Amino acid sequence: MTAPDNDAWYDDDAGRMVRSYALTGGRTPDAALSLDRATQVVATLADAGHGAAETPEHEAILQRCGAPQSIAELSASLSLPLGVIRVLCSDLLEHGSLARSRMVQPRDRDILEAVLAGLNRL
Amino acid sequence: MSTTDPDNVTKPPGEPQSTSERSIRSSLTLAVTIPWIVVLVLWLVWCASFITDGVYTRLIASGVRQVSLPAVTALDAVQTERQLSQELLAAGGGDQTALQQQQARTDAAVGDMNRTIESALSSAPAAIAVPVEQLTTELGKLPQIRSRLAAGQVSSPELTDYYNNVFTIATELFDVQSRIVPDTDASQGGIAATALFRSTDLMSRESALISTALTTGRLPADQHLQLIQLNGSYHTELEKNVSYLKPAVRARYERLVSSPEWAQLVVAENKLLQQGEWSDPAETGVSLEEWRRLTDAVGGELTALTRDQADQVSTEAVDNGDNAITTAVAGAIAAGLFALGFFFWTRRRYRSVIDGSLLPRLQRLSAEARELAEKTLPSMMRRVRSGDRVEVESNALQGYGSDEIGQVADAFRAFQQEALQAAINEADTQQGALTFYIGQTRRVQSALGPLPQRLDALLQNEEDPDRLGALFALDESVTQARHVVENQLVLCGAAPGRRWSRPRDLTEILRASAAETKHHDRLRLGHVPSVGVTPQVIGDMLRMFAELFANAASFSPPGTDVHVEAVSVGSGLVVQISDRGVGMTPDARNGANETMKNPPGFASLVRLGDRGEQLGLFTVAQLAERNEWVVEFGTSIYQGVRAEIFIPQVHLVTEDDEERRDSWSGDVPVASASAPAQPLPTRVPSAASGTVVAEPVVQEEPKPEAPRASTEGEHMDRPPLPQRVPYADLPAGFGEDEPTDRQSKPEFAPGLMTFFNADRKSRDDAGDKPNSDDDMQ
Repeated sequence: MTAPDNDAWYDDDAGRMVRSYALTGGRTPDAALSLDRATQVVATLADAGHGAAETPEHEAILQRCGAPQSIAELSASLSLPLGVIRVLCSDLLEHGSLARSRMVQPRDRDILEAVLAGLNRL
Repeated sequence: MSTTDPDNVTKPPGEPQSTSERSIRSSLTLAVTIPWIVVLVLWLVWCASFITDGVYTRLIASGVRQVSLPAVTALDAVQTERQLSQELLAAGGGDQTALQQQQARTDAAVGDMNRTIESALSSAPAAIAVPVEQLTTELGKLPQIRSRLAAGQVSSPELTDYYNNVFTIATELFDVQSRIVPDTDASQGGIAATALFRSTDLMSRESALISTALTTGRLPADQHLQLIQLNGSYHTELEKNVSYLKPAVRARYERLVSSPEWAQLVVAENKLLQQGEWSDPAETGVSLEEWRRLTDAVGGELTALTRDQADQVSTEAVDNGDNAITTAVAGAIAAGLFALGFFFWTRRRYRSVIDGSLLPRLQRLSAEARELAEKTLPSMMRRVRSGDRVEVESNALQGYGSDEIGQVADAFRAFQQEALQAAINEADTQQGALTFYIGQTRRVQSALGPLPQRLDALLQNEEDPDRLGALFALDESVTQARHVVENQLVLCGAAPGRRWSRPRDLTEILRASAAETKHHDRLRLGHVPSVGVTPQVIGDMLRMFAELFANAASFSPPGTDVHVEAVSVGSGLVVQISDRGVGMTPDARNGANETMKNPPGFASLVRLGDRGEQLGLFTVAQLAERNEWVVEFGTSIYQGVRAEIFIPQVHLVTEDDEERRDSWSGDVPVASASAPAQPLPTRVPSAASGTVVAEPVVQEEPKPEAPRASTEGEHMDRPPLPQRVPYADLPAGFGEDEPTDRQSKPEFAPGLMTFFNADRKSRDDAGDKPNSDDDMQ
């Protein structure tokens, strides 16, 4: 009882209401799936947003995956931890309503050289 | 003799007649009445005995006067007639003129006597009536004797026997009369009169004997002997009784004794006695005429003495009887009047004490004590328990004086003060314990509070599955601990640390509440309408649903689902939580429902013990009651328990309220982004699209003051948001820098809040809890 104001937390000051472990049912990402933050996923058209989802979070992912999205992007836009997104995405991948997107890597040599030069200047 | 009739006493209206009052009345009445009955009886006996004595004395004396005095006169005549008859018989005939004259006088006297007797005999007592009747019967034989005498058919002894018999009966009569008079003086005087009469009779017999002897001219030896006896007897009798005569009679007797006739008679008698038997009257020296003259004079005087004595004694006796009656009556009247006066005084005193003073005071005391016990004391107890300062000294039950009733009133007052003081002490103790408990719980909350947000930060970019799993486990433990701590604070009447400033979606609340239990993975959400919950009840709803989830999960086998659905009804929303357990027994279900309808106080936890489900139900009941939610337990279609919770519309924010929805939909990115898939919660995607990305960042940043600033400043276009309301249940002293208008909001534990005020704002003012700070720090 030293600082009463510090004992009050408004709205999500006390963390998100639905805790992360509850979103995944306590599950952690399966390392074998090798979904890293850069992995891009895309909703399969047939199932997009309809009937495949168990939770609102699943649905939200499918909603946003009309176009390919990276795991990191999903995490940021849904304000969900990376690990949670990975578990949920692996659910959807397993179900087939989500698919890995072929990643198109930028191969611009000028950019890469500019990066190298920058690094050298450090 | 009863002083008061208990039934006539008017009772105060509405006051039931108590048995004790009746008993006091009747026993006191009895105690007062019985002595008076005894007094009455004694008085009657006393009156009766004195008056009876007087009446009896008077009756006898008047009988003596009415019967005996005429009888003495008549008997005097009979004596004379006897002497004449015997002389005539001895002479063997002769002049009967004197006898006939005497017989006429005798008849007149006896006739007088009989007439008097007839009138007096009816009222005379039997002791007198019987001998009187014998006497009259005997005198009734007189004509027969006379006729036989005239015909010469009667012998001298027979004649003597007859007359002697008459006088014996008369003497007996007088003797009886004398002895039955209750008055001692009268009795002695009467006996003396009787002795006088007997002496007269004896002397008369002697006179007749000598007269006869002088007439016949000889005195045989046996008659001489008789003479000696008669002479000795009457002299002895006279001398023996002279001292009992009335003074006047005695003086007259002295005069008689000193008279020449008496001396001459004695001389004559002595001569006759000394002479022995003789056959020639001349030998005696006593002539018949001389003898007659002497005996007539002395005998008449003796008869007069007898009459005088009887007359005086009976007059005195009548007077004594009259006096006794008068005295008795006067005494009785005086005693009766005195007793009556005293009786009325006693009755008035009794009434003034019992009816005027004792019973009304007792009834007033009873009514006031009842009022004290049933109204005043409980209301003061309530005030004490709600934290008011209550004056222990009270004005109740004053004005009863210092007598026994006053002492009872004092005892009641002392009892009330003791009870009140005990209640105050108990309330203080409870308040102290509660304060201590709340303080300690807040410390725990302080330590736990920041953890979820830090965990969220740690989780945000954690990629390592093992560390993620460890963080999940840590988060779960922290969340559950926070749940417990918040429950404790809420049930203790304090505000938990977590609050909301804007509505949240019901689905989110349901999921969050499941996450606060260790059974979160068993939650299965069915159809839940898309409604928001007003901020001020979000915390309580979270805690209540969490308890109900825990209850459902603990009553069903591990691994089975707990189904949650919600249905909109006209006036609100019904949430159904069903498990697939073994169900509750009807008794347990009824008990749980009863707990929900009438939430028990903390005191009942002593009986319930620390069984988890009971604590859970207790918590649910408290939370439901303070928010006016209705919780009912029934049977689910899965054979388990189905809890139904009714949430009134006032706690809900529907999508129909467009403006409100705008204000809070952005806070719920997950829910608002959900697709309208069934049976999952639905929200029209288009309605929420575009607002979801930017808002969360904004909303997670602000400190407690920030949301209010942003709502009032930056979002002026929005309607007044409900986020001001959730602080209503903040303790008044919870935030020193917050506007003071919050302190006027209703609070759950005013006493506690008072303490917080004192503790936070002005510790100097909190003189009644000087040690609390030390306990908390």
